[in-house]
Amino acid sequence: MKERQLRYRSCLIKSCSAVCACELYGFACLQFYVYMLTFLYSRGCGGAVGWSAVLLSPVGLGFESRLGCLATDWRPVLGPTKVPPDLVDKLERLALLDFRNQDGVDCLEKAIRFADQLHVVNTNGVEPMDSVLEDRALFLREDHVEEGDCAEALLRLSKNTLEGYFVAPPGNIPLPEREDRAALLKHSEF
Amino acid sequence: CAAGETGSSRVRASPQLVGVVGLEIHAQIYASTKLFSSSQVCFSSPPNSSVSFFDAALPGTLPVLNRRCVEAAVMTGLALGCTINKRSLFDRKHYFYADLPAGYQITQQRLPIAVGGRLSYSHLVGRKRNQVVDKNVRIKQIQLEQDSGKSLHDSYRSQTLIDLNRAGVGLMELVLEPDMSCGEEAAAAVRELQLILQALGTCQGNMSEGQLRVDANVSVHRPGEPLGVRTEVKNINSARFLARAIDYELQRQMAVVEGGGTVLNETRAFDFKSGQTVPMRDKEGLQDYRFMPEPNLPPLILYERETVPAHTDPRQVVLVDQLQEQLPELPRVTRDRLVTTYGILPEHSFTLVNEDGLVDYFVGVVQQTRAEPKKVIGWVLNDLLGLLKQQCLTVSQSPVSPNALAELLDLLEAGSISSPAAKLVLQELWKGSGKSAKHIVEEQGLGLMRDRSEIQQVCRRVIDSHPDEVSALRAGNKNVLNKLIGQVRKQTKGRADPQLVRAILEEELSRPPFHGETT
Repeated sequence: MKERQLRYRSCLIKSCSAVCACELYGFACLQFYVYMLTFLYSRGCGGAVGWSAVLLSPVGLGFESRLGCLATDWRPVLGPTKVPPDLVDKLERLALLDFRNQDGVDCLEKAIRFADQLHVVNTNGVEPMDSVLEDRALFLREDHVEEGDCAEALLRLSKNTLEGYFVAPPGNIPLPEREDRAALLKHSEF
Repeated sequence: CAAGETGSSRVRASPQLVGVVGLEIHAQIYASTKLFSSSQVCFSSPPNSSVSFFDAALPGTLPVLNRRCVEAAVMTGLALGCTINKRSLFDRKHYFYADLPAGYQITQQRLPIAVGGRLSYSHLVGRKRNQVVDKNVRIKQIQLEQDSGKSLHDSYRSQTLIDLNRAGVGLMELVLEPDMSCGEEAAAAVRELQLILQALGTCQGNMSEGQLRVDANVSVHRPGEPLGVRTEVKNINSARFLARAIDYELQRQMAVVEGGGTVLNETRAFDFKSGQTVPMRDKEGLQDYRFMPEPNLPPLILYERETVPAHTDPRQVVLVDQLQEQLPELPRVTRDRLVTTYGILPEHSFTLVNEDGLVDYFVGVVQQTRAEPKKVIGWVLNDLLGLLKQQCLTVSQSPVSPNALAELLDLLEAGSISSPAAKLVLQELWKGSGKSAKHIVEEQGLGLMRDRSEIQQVCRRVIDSHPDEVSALRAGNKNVLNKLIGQVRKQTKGRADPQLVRAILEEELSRPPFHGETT
C-alpha cells in the first residue's frame, strides 16, 4: 500500500512533466492542476481541494525534492509561488475559467503552495504510475452495432436545433477582454 | 522536384532552396462501429442518427475500446514495417470547438500503438513517365484517435450546424517524417498508402468521402542549413490537389525567402478553385492542448502466442504474430509478382495495381488464352481500360468478361482475324449483346482475308484510283504508303492482314508502271 502511494505520487511528479514536455513545459502542468483545483473549489468542496492539491502538484518549474525521508508534518517546503497576470489571463483563455479578482488568484497561489507537499517525497528511481487501472485488462468490445439511433432524444437536449442539426455559433468566439467580461457577467446567473 | 534537376545551378552563388514536406495522414478505420462506442459508422446517413450518448459526451458515459480498430492499427503498423508497442497508452487532447462535444479528443500522444516504420513508394519520372524511381518515407508513429463531428458553416445566418455522426469514429493517424521534397512525391506516397490500406482492408482510402485526410507540413531551406519555418496546409480533398497545394505553398515560401522576408508559422487552407493556399482564421498562434493521461482507460496490452497469460478469454486478446501471418499480399509484392511471372514492364504493373480488380482481370485473361502476356497487357491497358474510362465504369462493371477477351485474343493469335478487325469485334462485344467473338466475326464477315489474289486486286484498284499518291511515293515520300494501306483497309473492312497488305503494295509499286499509269 505504501509503495503504491509512493509510486502514485512519483507518477504525478515525473509523468506530469513527461506528458506536458512537448507543450509549454511548466505552464501546462500548472494549467492541468489549476483546472482541477478551480473546478473543485467552485463546487464548494473545500476538503476535496486539499486532496486534489496533494494529488496534482505541478512540477515543471524545475523543483527537486528536498528531503530524502518522508515528512509527517505539513510545513511548507518551497517558497511561495507567484502567478503572473499574463499567465492567469492565458489560463483563463485556454480553460475558459474565470478567476474573477485578486482573491481568486490568491486562492490559487495558496493551493499551489499547499500542494508543494508532494516534493517532500523522494521518488528517485521509482517508476511513475500513470493510471490506477494499470493492473486491469483493457476490455475489448466486439464490432457489433448496439447503440445510436436516438437522434430525437439527443436533439431534445439542445435549445437550438435546425433540421436535425445542432446549432452552434460560427467558428470559435475568442474570449473578450477583461473589461468587457465584467459587463457580460453582470447579467449572467453566476 | 528531384526529377527536374538540370545541373544549371552551379552558376548561382548560393545553393538552391529546397522544399521539405512532411505529412500527417488521418485514415478512417473501416469498421462497423466507432472507436469507443458501438454506434454505427456509415457515410451520409440522416444527421445525428448514429450517435450514442458517449459520442454526444453526455455525463456518465465511458469509452469502451473496439477490438477491430486495434487489429486494424496493428495490421497497418505491421504492413509498414513499424515496431508495434506491446503496451500503449491513451491521452486526452483538449481544445474547444463545437464539433468536439467533450472538449477533448482521446488520442495516443505519449506512447502510440506503432512507431518507426517505412513507406516505400515509387514515382514515375521522365518525359514519358516510364522510369520508375523508388523512394522511402520514414513513418514516425501510428496512433489511434477519435474523429470529431462535422460542422457545416452557414454564413448567411451566421451559425454552424453540427452533425455528430462522425464524432467518435476511429482514426489511424500516420505521421510521416519530412523526407519528401515536392508535391509529386507526396502525392505518390499517399497513393501508395491508399493502395496498401485498401489491400489490408483497414481503410477504404476514399479521399473524396473523407476516409483519408492529409495535412501537409511545408517548409523551405538551403541544403545543409537548419530547417525553415513550417506552415501547415489543410483542406486537401484529393491526391491531385495535394500535389498542387504543396507545390503552390513551396513556391510561395521560396518567393518570400528569396525576397528577404520571413515565413510565418501558420495554418493555411487550400482553395482548389484558385489553386492557392490562404491563411485560415480561428487559429491564433500555437495551440496548447494540455495533454493529460486518459483516466478511464488502462494501458492497451498486445500479446503474442507465447506471452498470452493462461486462462484469458481469446476474444479479449489481440495476437500480433497471428495478425502478421494473416497479412494479405501488399501492392509492392503484387507488382513484383506480375513482372516476374508474366514478364510485363514495371510501369504496366503500376497501372494494373492502381485500378481496382484489373489485376484479377488480367490474370484471368492470361490463363485462358494462348496469346502471350505481353500482347494481353496491351489489350487490357489500352483497349479495355480506355473503354472503361471513357464510360466511367469500374472493372467489375465491364461488359466484356475475361473469357470473352481471351476468346478474341485466341482468334487473333490463330490468325483468323487481323488486329484492326479484332478492335472492331471488341467494340461489338462491348455493346453487351451476349454474342461470342467468333459469332460476331462470322456475322459481320470479318474473317481474315487470306486470298492473296483478292488482296492484290484491291491493292491494284487503290493504286489506280490514287495516282497522285503513287507519284509522291515514287518521288520518295514513304509516308504516303500508310495512306494507301488505310485505303486498302477501308475497302476490305479491315479484314486484310496489314503486314501482307504492305508487302503486296510495295511489291506492286516496285514493279515498273504499265500503260494506265503516269510517271
